[in-house]
Amino acid sequence: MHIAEGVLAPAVLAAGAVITLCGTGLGLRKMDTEKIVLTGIFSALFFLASLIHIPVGVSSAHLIGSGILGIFLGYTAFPAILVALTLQAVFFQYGGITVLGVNTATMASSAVLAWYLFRFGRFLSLPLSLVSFLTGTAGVFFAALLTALALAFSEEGFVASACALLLAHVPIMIAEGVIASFTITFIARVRPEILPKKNV
Amino acid sequence: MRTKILPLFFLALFSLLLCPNLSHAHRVNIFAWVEGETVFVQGGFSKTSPARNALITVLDGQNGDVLLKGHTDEKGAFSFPSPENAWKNGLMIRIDAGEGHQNSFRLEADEWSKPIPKPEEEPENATEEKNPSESKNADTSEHAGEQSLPPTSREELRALLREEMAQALTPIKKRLQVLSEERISLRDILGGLGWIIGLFGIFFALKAKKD
Repeated sequence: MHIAEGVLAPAVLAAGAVITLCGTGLGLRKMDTEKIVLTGIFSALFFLASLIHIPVGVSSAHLIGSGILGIFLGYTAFPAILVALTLQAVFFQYGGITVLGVNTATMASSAVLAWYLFRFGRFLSLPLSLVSFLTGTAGVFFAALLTALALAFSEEGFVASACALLLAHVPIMIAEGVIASFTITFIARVRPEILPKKNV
Repeated sequence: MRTKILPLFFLALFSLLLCPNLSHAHRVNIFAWVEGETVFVQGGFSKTSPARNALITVLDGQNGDVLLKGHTDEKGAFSFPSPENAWKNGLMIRIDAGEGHQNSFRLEADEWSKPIPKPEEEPENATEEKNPSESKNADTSEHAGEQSLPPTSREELRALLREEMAQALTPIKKRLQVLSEERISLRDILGGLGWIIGLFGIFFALKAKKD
């Protein structure tokens, strides 16, 4: 979900930039040496995910990966997504430099929300595959809602944007839920130490 | 158990990478061209998915006045008669496909052929003059123009030529439309990945030095 240049009002752009700045600062402080590699890998994943379109229905929606990013990175998703979106804006003309703040804020915030959801699910001791599926789905859901919130002050309004975005991303939500479920159960078997601890 | 899951995981990853829609752009593209007295606009997300019912706004190229608005049809196409001053100022055509997708296209003034001037205003008429000393005189060209062809048939010929040219140029304009759609190449993708590796590599080196 990349908002193009020239759609949003300056106030919305400024708000997005502030959120992104704070989030990136927080994320960088939480990023220790070991996590840098992981952040880089997921930054690359986010960069590539937008190229993979799920051809279901009439819409042209692509994978986002905010759920998975959130599970592994938490607040560090901010720098990871900021880097990936900057490169997408430069290389693919997705989004744009002036909307970088807003786009990063919506995508990274949805990843952080997914992170909290994942930890809450683990806290409730739900099965890992179920929690992962829900988190992967919720990542896209939050991303759509937050993007609609950013568009609320443009011509379309919140309700219309949210309906259109959520409807277009139903196949993406299911796909990302399945991918997250597979990935997390796999990682839990081979490298459980890079997942968030169960009782934090 | 582990040996069973590993190939499955990679199989899932690879099937995603082989997805035929891999290189489709997610921004909305817009292309416009002039054909005679009509301007055609085409909007789409990719070659196979047109931007249906997208809002088209046509602005004056110089002062930005909104000249007209409309919506694209099922094929993402929209057309309108050339506005009065388009050949002087050019046009700015904006497409808004909703959900934050917006793009614009500039049609420069020279896309339009100038309105047919009256025969008196025609300065270029290479004709034989009876007297070479009169060649610098402005009056000669006027006389010469009248001599070679009557004004009405000249105008008719011009209109006919214009029509023929528009028809002959249509395939070229269609081809331009395809070319103007910026596609993502492997070079872009690999370049981006290289940047990510480089950036986080530098970050890692800096952090490791501190520790």
